[in-house]
Amino acid sequence: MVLQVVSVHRPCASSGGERTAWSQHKAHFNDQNDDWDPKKAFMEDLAAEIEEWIQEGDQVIVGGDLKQRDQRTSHQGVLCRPWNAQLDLLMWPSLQEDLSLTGKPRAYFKPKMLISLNVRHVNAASKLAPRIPLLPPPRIKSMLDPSRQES
Amino acid sequence: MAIPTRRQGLVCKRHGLKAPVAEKCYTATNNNNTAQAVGVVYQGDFFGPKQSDWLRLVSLNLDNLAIEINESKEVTLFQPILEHGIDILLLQELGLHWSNLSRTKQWRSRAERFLNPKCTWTLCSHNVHDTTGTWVQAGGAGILSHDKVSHFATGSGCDKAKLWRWTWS
Repeated sequence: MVLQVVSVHRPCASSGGERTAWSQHKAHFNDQNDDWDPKKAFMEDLAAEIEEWIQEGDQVIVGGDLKQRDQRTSHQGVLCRPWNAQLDLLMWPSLQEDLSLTGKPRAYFKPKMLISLNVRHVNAASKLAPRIPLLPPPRIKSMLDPSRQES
Repeated sequence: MAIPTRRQGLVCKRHGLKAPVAEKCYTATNNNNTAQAVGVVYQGDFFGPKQSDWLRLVSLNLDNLAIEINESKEVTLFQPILEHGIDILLLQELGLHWSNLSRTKQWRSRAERFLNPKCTWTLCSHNVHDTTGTWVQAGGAGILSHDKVSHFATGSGCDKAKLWRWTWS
């Protein structure tokens, strides 16, 4: 059994800039004669790859940043595919919509910079999902400042 | 007598300190916090002491790394890995075109200045289709594993389009 840990970054919608991630991806798809919207392409490709891993029997944890409809916010989140169960969405309600996944979102998403998880019993991957507590301080600064952590 | 119900999931299994929250900012989908709170806001809990059977995974949007090495952001990126025992760090928006940077400015060199290379496995890259020759490039994703878990990393890669929209390990 393999645990696949994936870091993702979805570009935000086009802001008109030539050097944005969206523009880069769009240029690439145009070169491929493909009229895909980079955001849609991202979700479709990611879903396909996750499905591929799942079919192979892998465990999957996906974490990262999904630029949302509002370009000013970046939604961090993590999802985890537990053993022998539906893709279990721990955060990212919007990702659930986009990927048409089933199951109720677990109420955590936030336009902040940092998400952390403590995953217990990593050797027993089948027990990953029910044992993940969420410990997300928002900024690195707050992690480095002990007084804030104690407050 | 109330029948105890079995609870699972994040909300019911807290470890460590609970973060202060703004009570006005509860929403239907987020009962902990939102971005509208005044001042510093938190969601969830802080890093508490790490238990021996935990794998600590962090996802971080870097909002562009500096071209020069040893910048403050770089220091505050790597120090918490040691300080808080972060096992896996998921990175986004590194913002650099690694191929166009010198050897000392490469991601691996940066990591090795702070972390023992013998127990660090990392991969970061950029959109390889971009041939503009600039040092900076929007986007990018990376992954870093440190300490014991790094020895279990057997492979890594990126999305099939080589746009580095995601990195896996």
